[in-house]
Amino acid sequence: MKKALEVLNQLERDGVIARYAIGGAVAAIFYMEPFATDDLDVFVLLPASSGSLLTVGPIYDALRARGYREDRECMDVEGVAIQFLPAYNALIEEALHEAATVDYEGTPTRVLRAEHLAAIMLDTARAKDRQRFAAFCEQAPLDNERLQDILERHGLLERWRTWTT
Amino acid sequence: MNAMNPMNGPSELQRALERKQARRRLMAAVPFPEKIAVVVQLQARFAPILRARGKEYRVWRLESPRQPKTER
Repeated sequence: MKKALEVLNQLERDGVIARYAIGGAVAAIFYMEPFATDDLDVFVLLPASSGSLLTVGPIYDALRARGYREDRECMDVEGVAIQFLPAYNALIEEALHEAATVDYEGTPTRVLRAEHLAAIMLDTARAKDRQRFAAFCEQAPLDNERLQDILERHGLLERWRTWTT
Repeated sequence: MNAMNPMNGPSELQRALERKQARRRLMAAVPFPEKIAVVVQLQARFAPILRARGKEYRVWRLESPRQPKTER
């Protein structure tokens, strides 16, 4: 895991990605009790040079050039299956910009903030998001004022009310 | 037989739920690398079952396999 994070940091230094942060299940696990997941979701902001096309192709190319291989929809990087997800809306762009820098065994990395993760679960709204959302709200240290602000700005307050009542 | 007494039911249930809640809080507070070690242990446990059902399931490779301190 540490080596995989080092590879992500190197991709950022090389300009292959403009900024990355861990999202999805592993980011949720940062704030709550661990549960099973088999891939590491990494949200990425692509460099301005990539234009308006949201493709992770250049990331895959850069990793292939370093000897890593695809594993279904993921890339196997140092034994960790990483799924790269380009920031596809304003909520995820904001979450990436405001992600927390954390330490993983001496390697710096970024994890989406708890309030943004909750908002993304509400936005994505798959069955597993709804299931995880309840446990996440119970265990994660959510700043309610900050969460309400995010939900209001991204039009998610109504769904939040539905899911929490 | 106290546990079978319906009069004790709600309090027994309450205590069990509180223990579960306390364990979740404990697990939520452990360091990130230890949580990842738990995730990998869970992957290793689930993989044979899921593969037997024909599903592909990945088990990550940690650089230094560590025993989660919180594992019971």
